[in-house]
Amino acid sequence: MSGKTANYYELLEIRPDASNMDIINAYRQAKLTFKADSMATYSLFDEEELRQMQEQIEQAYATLSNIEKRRVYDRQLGLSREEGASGRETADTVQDNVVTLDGGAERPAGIRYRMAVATVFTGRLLREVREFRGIELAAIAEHTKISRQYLQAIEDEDEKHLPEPAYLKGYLKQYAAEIGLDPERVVGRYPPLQRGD
Amino acid sequence: MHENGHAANVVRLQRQPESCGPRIWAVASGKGGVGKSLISSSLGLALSRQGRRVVLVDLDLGGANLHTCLGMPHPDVTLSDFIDSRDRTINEFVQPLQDLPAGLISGAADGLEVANLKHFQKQKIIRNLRHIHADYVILDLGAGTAFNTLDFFIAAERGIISVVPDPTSIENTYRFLKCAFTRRLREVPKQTRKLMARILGMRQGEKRRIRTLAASLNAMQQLHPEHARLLQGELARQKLHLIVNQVLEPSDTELGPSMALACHKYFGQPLEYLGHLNHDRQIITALRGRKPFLTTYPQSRAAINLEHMAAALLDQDSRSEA
Repeated sequence: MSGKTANYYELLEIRPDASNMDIINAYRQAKLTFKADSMATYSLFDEEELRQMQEQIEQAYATLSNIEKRRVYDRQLGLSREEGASGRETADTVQDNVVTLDGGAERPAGIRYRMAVATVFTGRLLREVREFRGIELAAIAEHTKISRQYLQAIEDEDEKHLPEPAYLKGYLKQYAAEIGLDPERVVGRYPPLQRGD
Repeated sequence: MHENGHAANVVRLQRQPESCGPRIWAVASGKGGVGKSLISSSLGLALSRQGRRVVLVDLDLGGANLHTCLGMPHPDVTLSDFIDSRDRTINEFVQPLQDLPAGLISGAADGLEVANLKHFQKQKIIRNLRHIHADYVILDLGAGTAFNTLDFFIAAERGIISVVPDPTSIENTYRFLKCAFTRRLREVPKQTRKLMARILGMRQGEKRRIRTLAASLNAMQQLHPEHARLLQGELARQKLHLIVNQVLEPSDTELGPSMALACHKYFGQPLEYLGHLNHDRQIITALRGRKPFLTTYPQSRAAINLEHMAAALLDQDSRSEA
């Protein structure tokens, strides 16, 4: 889009010390904005520009969402970053506040609200969160190297195809982290694991 | 030395009224019927309920009806009278609103010429906006990209744009922004303008021409950084805001943040999303009863959102003062 190529942080319009949650939210927003039939870009960008933009967004997310790749990339950019989210509020915390002020009564069943107050993380809720973030199951399978069937079984709560509880806990934690949820919270509230206790 | 110092003082004293003048916000849209008058009247009322002195100016010349949105009778004096007058100040044409520290300068004259202001008449209005006795002056502009509309728009320190979730409104919003930015380029020195025109014709990468303002600013930054600074300075003078009106579907609420992101990528300038207003029958009901919506249905979601928007902008102003 510009003479000098924007780096991945500039592309997703986040700060170099963005938390994983910031990255996921920015990715979702960018993906939604620049998808092929997006109303928001109507008449502003042509198909070819949108295609390029989508490619760049996917590249940016593939790198920034992977801790190892992000570390290498940061080094290339000459950024020295402390590990972790450097104590900043994550985007969800900030947006949750806005939701209670602005959209609380209008959308009581809003996904941000439900994930913030959930006492049970059903497979269905997990899938909703993932879809809300605009993340494909295949992308999680690739990042985590967990087989697609297991991930599908987690979302379906398909006990026949779920792995042994010890493995399931590990997989579920990785899956939760990928969709920006607190892994410990999800593991403690996932019905098939409670039934096993 | 002494004389110079004295001269500087005089200049500062002369400029003082301008720097202490009202803050000017303009409400615009690419397309008509998307809620400009509702938004400007409601923001005006919300500010005056916060104790700010507000004057609304109806600059939708030829289609002026802000008085109706405010529940006022047809005005006795209008902007045309001010344009024609030789010795009266603009403040003599403000019609006060009941109960609130607010007033209206109406544009509702029926003469043919008012919709087609001459250059000097437009200049007279723009010059005098700064002399209005108020904390805030809110301009309700006509739809579209006529030069007069664009010039009123870029005279304001905040530009508030209303859009509804349909492709025609979105297309016209982007057209309006393109025209407003192009019009703003007239404010930079000729040499900077020339360089910008040259950059816009340049090739980018293999074959595409530089098309977006963001890309041209970027190229300018690399080739002529001093001119890029001038341009950025000019563009940063006005803050732009977006309101999505007539929201029906939950997914419509995604439009604002997405348009803000798309604009930033295209124009290289921030367009801040202020929030959305739900489609609300009470807005029509208030209008039919010739009552101001905000004070007639203060508990409605749209009215609450409008109050929030006014409060957010006030907050930004007080931070920038600090």
